[in-house]
Amino acid sequence: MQIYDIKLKNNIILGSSKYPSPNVFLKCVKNIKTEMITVALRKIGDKPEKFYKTLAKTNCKILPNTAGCFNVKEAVNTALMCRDIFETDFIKLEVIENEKNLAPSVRGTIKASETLIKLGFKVLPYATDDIKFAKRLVEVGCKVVMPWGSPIGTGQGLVNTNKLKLIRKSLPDTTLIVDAGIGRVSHACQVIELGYDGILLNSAVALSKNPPKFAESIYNGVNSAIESIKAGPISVSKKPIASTTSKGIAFRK
Amino acid sequence: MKIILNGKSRKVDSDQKVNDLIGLLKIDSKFIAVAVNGEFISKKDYSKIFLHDGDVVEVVSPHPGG
Repeated sequence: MQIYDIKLKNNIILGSSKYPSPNVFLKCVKNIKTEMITVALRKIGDKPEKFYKTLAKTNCKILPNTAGCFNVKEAVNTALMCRDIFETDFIKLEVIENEKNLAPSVRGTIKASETLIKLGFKVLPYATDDIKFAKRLVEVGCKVVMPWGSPIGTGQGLVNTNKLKLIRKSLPDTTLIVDAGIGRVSHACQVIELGYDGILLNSAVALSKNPPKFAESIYNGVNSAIESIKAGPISVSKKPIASTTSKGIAFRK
Repeated sequence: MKIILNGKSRKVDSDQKVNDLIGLLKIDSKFIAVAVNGEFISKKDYSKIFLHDGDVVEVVSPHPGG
């Protein structure tokens, strides 16, 4: 999928949080075959270089996030700090409005996107499935938009496929990634079947009972969905259509 | 003078610059980023920016995130 000026072979971006251990995380990265990993910034602990070195082992591109930011100033300064460490212009922009459901702030996300794009960032904004919100993000210069399937970490899947479909239809040239709410392989497949470019997930893999196995299943599921789309599925019909011919039925003339 | 470093009060000598503070913390600046009073400070400016009494300094590093 196209992420600004780079093309990823894989359609999955993986978060780096909540894994039972760094080794399990590395196995998941390998099994899900991702090329891009999300990371955060937090106040320094005892060994700030430790996680940095784990990330280096993945050979993946880094997508730093602004998770936990509640206003434009925090998000912009966090993005600048991310760029200072990771030397990348990519930023997963999160400006949260509602602490309870972790919904993004519409106004804050649009304003921060606009500001960061002017500062040379390649912004991947976390959004809801609201079409006006998505369109405004594209208008201010976002080449990628990441609507939620459902609130972060809930694993509810895609709660409103019609709204996601409308975004796809209205923004045919924008890379669309479902960012939050994926819980099962079927949810990831559904994203691809809606014509979206990719998925971003974390908790679904990290908190499963067997994260490396789950990561592998997500990879296989997503790729099956991609291949099946290429194979040309049938059109949806409102009327039932019998599979077996009615010609030659016994007991009929 | 006193600054607030990552939410905790800390005494530092006056006329300290950001790079002096990083030196005190004994950390490689490669793995960190800094903000003073909510404003990002670029690595190339660590040797230029003086800290002042009451400054709120944030020093962050990469952390797992989704």
